[in-house]
Amino acid sequence: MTGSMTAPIRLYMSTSLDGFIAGPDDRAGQELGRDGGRLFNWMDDRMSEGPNGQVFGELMATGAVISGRRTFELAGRWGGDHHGGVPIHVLTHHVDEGDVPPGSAKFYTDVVACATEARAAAGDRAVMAHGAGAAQALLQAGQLDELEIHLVPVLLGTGRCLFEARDTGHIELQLIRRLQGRDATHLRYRVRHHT
Amino acid sequence: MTSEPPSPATAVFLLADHQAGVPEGVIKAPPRVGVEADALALARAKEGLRPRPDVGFPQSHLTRTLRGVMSRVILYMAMSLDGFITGPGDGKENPAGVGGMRLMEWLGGGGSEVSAWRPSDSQSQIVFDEMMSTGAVITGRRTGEFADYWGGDHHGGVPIFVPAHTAPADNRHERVHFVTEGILACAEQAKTAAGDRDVLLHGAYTAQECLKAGVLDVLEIQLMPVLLGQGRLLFEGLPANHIELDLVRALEAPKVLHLRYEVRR
Repeated sequence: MTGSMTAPIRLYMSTSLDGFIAGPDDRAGQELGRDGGRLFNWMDDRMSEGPNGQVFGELMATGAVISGRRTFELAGRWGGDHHGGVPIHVLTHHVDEGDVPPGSAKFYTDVVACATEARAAAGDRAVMAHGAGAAQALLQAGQLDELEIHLVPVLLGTGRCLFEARDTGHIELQLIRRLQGRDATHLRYRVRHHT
Repeated sequence: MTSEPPSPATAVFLLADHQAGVPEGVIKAPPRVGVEADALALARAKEGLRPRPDVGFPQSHLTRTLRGVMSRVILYMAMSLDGFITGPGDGKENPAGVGGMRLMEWLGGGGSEVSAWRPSDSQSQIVFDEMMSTGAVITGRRTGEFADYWGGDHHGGVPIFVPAHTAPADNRHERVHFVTEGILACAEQAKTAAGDRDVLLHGAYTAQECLKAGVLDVLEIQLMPVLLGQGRLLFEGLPANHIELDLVRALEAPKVLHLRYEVRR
């Protein structure tokens, strides 16, 4: 419902055809997992004029970021600035006392509050969501409006999945845009929220 | 918006690349992040995966005819965006699993005749007609038994090949052949039987076996705009070495996106 009224919360994720967003053993020092860099070849074109550049430009024009804690930490907390100094809203289960995240980042333990404040911060711009954990939490809470999947033509075989099994029933989507870039098919789906 | 473009060779998703202008006292990303990114670029260059022009489909789409000189094994499967090909609890009584019929909605209403399954939209008809013009079928035993081997005739009376450890004692269908000599032999027999036509492959487990054995040529995925949440995954238990694909066709229909990938050798 929110999607049609205000700017959307949109998940951005590079995904292999077999559903992986990172190689196996993703950790500090190997942030994309073993050989997971394969999923990001399309970003070599991010400053070009083609579809890959367009999608990247849209990502960089989002007005706030929602990230899961795991992604946030793996990324070195983005040094407090993911892009353009926009607020980074980090979903987490627990905040250590005295742990103040850097720059524009802020911790949230409540997914609805996180989404609401991110929307407010972004104004008329879209909110970029990133990370499997954030995606699942936002989906469960009915707060994810769109998915921009950069579908990469490879079978990784193993790694970290975007979607974990869950038993909350079907979530219907609508394909609203498809852009074919080099080494990625950018599929934008709208989540059809149930009233 | 940023005033400066991000530094090259850095994936913005996971790697911090905006270190300039970070205030004092802010924790900076460890320098190995940049090194890692450079190593990735180097590794890619070594593998010959250099950037290509941003031109969409590879050349093969323009030069290949629908039917190659040789028969190819083509996987046809409807899959949810989260990777499932059935709902949970699939079995003989409910082959699609709970709610799994959602994935069949790209097809026509169905019935005893094959033609009743033909979709109504022109893009899906292309895929359906190709599927029904294949010259042989390979199906997993599980899928085959759930469907009772389509009464012995999947379409057009073409032979059906089933990789199996042991052939059943009573095989009621004369066109159904159980192949106990392994997946390679099964693929070879099906291709020979298909002649200059392609082979239709159906079933997740058998698809995985064909991928591992290097005998799957094409994946024709009907990507359904739904997250099922649970069920049977199409891709499972594949080896960790990447299998590179080329997207050679995308057909967009109201209910489904048809993605055709060729397996790169």
